[in-house]
Amino acid sequence: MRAVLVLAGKEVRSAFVTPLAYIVCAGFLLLSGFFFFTLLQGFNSHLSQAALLRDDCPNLNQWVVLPFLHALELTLLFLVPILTMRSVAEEKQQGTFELLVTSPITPLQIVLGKFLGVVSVAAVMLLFAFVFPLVLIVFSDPEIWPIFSGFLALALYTSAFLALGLAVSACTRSQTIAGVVTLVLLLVFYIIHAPAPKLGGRLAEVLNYLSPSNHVDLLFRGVITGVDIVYFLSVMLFGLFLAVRALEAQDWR
Amino acid sequence: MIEVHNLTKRYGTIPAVTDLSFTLPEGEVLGLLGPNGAGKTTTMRMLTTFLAPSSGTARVCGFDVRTEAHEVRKILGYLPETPPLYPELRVEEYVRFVARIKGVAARDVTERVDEVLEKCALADVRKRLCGQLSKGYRQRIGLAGALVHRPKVVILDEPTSGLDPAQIIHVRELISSLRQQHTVVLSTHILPEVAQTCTRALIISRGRGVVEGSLEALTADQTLEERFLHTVAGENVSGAGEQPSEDAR
Repeated sequence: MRAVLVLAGKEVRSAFVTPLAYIVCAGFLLLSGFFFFTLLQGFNSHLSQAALLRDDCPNLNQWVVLPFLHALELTLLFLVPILTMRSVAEEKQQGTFELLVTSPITPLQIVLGKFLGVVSVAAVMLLFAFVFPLVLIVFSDPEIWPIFSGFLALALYTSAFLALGLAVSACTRSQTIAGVVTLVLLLVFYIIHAPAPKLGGRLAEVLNYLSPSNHVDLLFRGVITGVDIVYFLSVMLFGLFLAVRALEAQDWR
Repeated sequence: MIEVHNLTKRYGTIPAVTDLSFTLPEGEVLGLLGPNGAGKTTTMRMLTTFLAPSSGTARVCGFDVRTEAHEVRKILGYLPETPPLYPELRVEEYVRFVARIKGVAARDVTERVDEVLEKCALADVRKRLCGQLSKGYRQRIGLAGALVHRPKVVILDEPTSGLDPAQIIHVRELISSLRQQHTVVLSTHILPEVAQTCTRALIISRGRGVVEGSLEALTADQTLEERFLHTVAGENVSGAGEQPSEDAR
């Protein structure tokens, strides 16, 4: 456990003494701020329209919170590869991988350390993005529960994808390849349910189950179900397992 | 301390090291000699558990490098040809990190780090970033990392390559001083280096151990140069350029 924390600490330190973490955080906040602003503006004009027509007041959760969460979901998809591409590939590139492998630590400890490190950086990012719904809570009256469960969903979703990205990074010594492969993999995941309605049957069920978008949906609306949590945890464990295997196989060449 | 028996490593079908056998008693400094691509780095990588042997066995302090790799890693310090540094860490932070992953007890870390920084003449650059320092410093930082956990066996891959003459002298003195506490294996293609720092030598050519023995025995009837050229040259004329470079991997 100590080795895991030492490795994780080093990951976080490396991320924050180089510009990487700041650039990714800044990019994420810029994008999420832009989405939030646009959504609020849309809500505002809708509000004035509803007032004119003496309609019911539009729902803040439905008009701002839910689309905002979906926007973050998509943004994170692009940022995860940037966070994970360097993790193992860079070690191989600069020769420090030899140091890790010849130290009395196991591949599992290396993977957990790396994972914990990169999850911490992502957690900082998500924490900052929580400022936006906080603004809603302070100045308006949204349903609070879906906001929390929505961020829980984003945290699970990000962790699962970070684990996959880590596994890809463990397979190559090129950061570029690690980044591109992870991005393609995550995008395929993102749209994997698309052909389901045409296919129908068992296969459609499988594709629908594999799609992360289907699993964040209920959580974004404030419904926490075991199926969704288990889904994200199993993707995460699968990614970590693959990463460990990739490290164990390093001398097969 | 180190027993190597019929050690063989093949990359696919290309043999890099073939049937290498030698033993190294405690407290000795072994120089691995050989032309580029002879299999020196591959041999060291197997001893350090970085690569698994294709066949044959190697034992470090009685622990098998394949089946008891974890034990071997605890008692071994290794400096690869390129020092494994994190350019974004400060020298002190780096050595501290290495000490921790090498399993130095938490309460001893600070003491050990100070000790090894002093020993490798790094005390005045301890706050500098590894990535900003010259090759000579990097080599010494790598050496500090290899020594911080007081390993019984130290393996150094071309520890003086790319250094200026003054730095070479300093690193050689450092290696000579290791003999009291550590068993050392180092590789080089500079012959005088072996004469100055090693007690034993092993000449490797095209993946095979050709000559092995104590330095006195090897230099009794001819100089090391003569012996090296004699054992290596004949094969080199016919096979020059065919040898796959281990550095390219």
